[in-house]
Amino acid sequence: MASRRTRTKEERHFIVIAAVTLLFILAAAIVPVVMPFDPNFTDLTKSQLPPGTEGYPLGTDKLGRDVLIRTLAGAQESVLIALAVVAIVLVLGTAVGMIGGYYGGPVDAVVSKVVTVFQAFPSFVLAVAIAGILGQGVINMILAIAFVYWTTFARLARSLTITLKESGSVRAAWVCGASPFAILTKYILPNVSAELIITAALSIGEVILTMAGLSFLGLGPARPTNEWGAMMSDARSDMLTAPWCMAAPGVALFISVVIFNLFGDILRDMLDRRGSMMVEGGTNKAKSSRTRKGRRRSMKEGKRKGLVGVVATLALTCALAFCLAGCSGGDKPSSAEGGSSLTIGSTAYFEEESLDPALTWWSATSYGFCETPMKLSDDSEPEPWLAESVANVDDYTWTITMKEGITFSNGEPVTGEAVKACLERTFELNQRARENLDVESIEADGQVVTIKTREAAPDFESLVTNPMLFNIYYVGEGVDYVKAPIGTGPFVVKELIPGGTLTLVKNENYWDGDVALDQVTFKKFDDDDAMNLALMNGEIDAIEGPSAAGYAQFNGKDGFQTIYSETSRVDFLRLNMETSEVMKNPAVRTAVAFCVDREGYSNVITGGMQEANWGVYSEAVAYGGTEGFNLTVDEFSVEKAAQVLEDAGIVDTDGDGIRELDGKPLTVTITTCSDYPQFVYLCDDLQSKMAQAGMKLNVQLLDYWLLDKETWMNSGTDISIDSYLMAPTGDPQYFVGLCFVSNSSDNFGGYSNPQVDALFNDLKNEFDLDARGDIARQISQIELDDCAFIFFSAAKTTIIARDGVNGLVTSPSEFYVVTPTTSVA
Amino acid sequence: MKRSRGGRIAWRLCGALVVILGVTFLTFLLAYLSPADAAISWFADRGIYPSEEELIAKRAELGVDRPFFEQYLSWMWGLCHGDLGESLRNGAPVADTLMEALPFTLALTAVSLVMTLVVSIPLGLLCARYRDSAYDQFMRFITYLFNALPNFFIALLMLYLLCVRLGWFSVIPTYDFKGIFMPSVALALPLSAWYIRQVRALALGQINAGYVSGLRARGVSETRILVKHVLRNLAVPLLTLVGISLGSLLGGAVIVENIFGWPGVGGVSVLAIGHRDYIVIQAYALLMAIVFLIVNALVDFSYRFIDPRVRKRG
Repeated sequence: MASRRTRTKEERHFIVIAAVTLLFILAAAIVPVVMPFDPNFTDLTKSQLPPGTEGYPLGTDKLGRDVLIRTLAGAQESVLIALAVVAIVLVLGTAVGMIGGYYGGPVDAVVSKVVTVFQAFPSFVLAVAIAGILGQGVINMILAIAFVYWTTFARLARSLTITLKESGSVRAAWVCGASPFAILTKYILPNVSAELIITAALSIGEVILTMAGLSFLGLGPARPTNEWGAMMSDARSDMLTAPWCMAAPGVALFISVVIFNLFGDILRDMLDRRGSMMVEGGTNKAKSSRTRKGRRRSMKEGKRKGLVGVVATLALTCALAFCLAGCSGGDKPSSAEGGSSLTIGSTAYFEEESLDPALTWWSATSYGFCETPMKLSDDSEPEPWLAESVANVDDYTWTITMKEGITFSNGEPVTGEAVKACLERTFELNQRARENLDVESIEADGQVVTIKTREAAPDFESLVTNPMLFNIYYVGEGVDYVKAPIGTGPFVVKELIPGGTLTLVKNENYWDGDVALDQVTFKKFDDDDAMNLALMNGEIDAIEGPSAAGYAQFNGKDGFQTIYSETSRVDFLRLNMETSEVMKNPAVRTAVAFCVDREGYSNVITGGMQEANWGVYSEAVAYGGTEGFNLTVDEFSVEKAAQVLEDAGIVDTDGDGIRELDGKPLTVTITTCSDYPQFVYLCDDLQSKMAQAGMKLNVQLLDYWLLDKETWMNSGTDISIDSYLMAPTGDPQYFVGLCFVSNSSDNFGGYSNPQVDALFNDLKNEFDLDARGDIARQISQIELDDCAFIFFSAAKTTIIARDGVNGLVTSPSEFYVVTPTTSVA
Repeated sequence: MKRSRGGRIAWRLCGALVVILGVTFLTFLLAYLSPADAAISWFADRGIYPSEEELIAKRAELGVDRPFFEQYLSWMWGLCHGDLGESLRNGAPVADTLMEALPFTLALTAVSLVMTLVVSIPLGLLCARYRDSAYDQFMRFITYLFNALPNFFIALLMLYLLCVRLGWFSVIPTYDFKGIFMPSVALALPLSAWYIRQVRALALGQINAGYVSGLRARGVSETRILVKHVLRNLAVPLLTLVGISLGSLLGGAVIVENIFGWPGVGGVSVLAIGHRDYIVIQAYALLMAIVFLIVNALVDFSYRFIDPRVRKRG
């Protein structure tokens, strides 16, 4: 028959599009497999090369991965999984629908009610809920989408089956005694398949988009992934500096959806035509010629008058644009209005829910509503603030003499009694304060406060500068410590909106001169990109603690200034020394340490905002740096990592590229919080580097930090990435007591070394500053040898502000941000 | 199968009740099958280090150690009293959190639906009027384009172009018409693309109807036929479309709210997903299903006001 008639236009189109679609699917299946490149291969020296660079037609991303290769590799995950999902729901949905439709009665009632129940949910909502409850992962994503889409096919198959059931052929088969199975497969299925296949083809594009949406929300395949939605979600933060990283997967997504939609449309046209030919038989020819003639006529008319349509569309677009411009009205919210209001954004440091100076102590001094008796100078020396002096009576007794005439913002005087009440509350509520200073009693006499301790407190003078213990705030009836604590600082809390806006106004009764600003607003952003865009737009005046992407965007740019200071903050890997068999092996720990590209992380991933760190404490403290230490790991080298493992007899015995330890593949899990993009990048880089050294790294991303030991251990992780201010007051005792000592409060990885515990006891009783530094150095050397922590990068405190903002401060302690002299122009 | 009018209504109510029960059962089942231990999550999100006894006590308090049906019944009992449980993350009553956010999502959905109708009905009718013309081909291209772009891509492009490049809108959302404009457009664009095709197809379906031929014979202009007569006949199918498309709007809102910082239920659910707070996810899914069901029931009900034929029948 085909030889007798020439192919119609539709058929020719169909052949072309079907061929393209088939080629596309084949390419998606084959290219990623045969491609001789590893899409996850990172090279930090080739970060963010623009498209067209030699060897990188589509450029590279932040980690120097080839965008073209990643996008090609992503086809497998994005397209093939979508096809698989559609195939699954097609088969399952059809089976359920046909059974319901054929048997009728109670079976059908159940099937149709279940379908109705599933369809009562908006489809993407149900997918998000299922994937969200099951968690990240490719299988969970497939399940979520399958649960949503099977109903489409079940419903269609059911209604088609009900119609066909009454047809002559089915009745005849039934009379002849065919089994229900035979009737369903031989008589009904062939007649419903066309319609179902059209629907399936038309839903492929939609499934691809739904998958990308889930991935975009972080519910897609686990890392390392090149799924297009996930790639786009990652590239979001570099949208302004490296837009190609987002464009490439976006365009790939677009092209594949267009191809499958075209294929579905043309398939429908084809099969519909066939169907109608079969049914209508002879009359068909006459009819089609009639419609074709009719269409030609209308096309002529259409071409003439199509102009009207174009004009109308343009008019509508213009009207919309005017409406848009009108309602934007040019009244951009400018925080500079009035000249004395400042808005600062941050994603990390602002406490959302509470301002209690005893518990969320870090907010109180930096937001300028609380102060401490002593203050840290820029070179980390204590100097008087609310107190006139701090004196040492004996090893166990200290006195603080408060200045006269200072009042809280509510007008109450700051007396010895007031300070006593405040400290007693803090030490009762805050466990970390108790761990730092073992207070026996607090006495007040006039302006003098006497503190007796059970253990010697050689670091008392620096502790008095620490807001964790010594925020001075008003304690009395009716004070709302969570929402409106009362302090002595230059600003007074006006309003805290949970979810992230804290507004403070000038303290009219400030004891130390006039306050320049009338109002300061701290705004917490959930989304770093939104924050950067807001600064660019002038909606906020400054960013405290910018991300690497933000830093890259504003540092050294016209109209913006960068303020920073060295700090003792260090980013480090914390290894699981308690329950992880892999991490208990010293060779593995050293190999991991060799795989951390510290220079690359600091110079490329954080864009030069941080510095590589090879010792324990950073250079910011006297006992830090690398000078005089014996470093086991003093460079980044995948070869050395491999050598260390080789020497320890950990070799790849089965040739799969992964070494075996005690007969099991050497697999390590790293966990971090996805809020902090630079740690996520580090995970991806480490994954590639460790793979080259023969170790498999799984990355587990959480939306929260592992902030206590139980959560940490329950996460089942071998390594976590953390960032701590290791010596806020410049003294070493704080961090040793927090993380290194056995069973200390933040020692989540269960590290324990009796030598360190003994040295810590020495430290607690040593009053001489140089000797304290020496003990800190001894402890540091043990940590370097044990390698239970890998301190890889030293951070700075950084603020990016628009020009015209003056007097914002950064300090090594990170305690202070706004001061009475902060102003805007 | 002849029933009285009252019987018919009772039968339909019964069916609706079964669906609602099914919806609650499905949402409960979702959370029940969650691999996370509610007691551990509860402590973890508060930074507490629980002992085994505390965990057992917490499980008993949360009721997660009881048999499935008992848990379901007690959850349903709470549901009937407007109690959807407490968030595992911060202990806040879930019903309050979601009800606070719901008006924002409903406003977003309503505004984008109105935008979609305002844009797509005239454009779709024009496509039908000048079918196969250059204009129709152009619109076909445009609609294909927007149908194939993921909504988050459209939203991000808008954010970049309108907020950063042109500076017309602020990135920090304001809670007025200006603030709702951007997320609504991001939702409305892909939906309009779909609507334009649907309106065109529906209008073309009417064009060969007898009444159109009659009007043509009387010399009524094509434009007048479309706007005055065909459009009225499209009211019912369009209403059905509104019911269906509400689902895609509520779904799309999850991503769009997240990108534009719009404080609706989508944002609440994304936060909950990050914390594996399945009590909130469960309540969110249930709430969306209820909104979806109510709107579709309203759509069903309103046919009789719009279409005199339905009214006469019944």
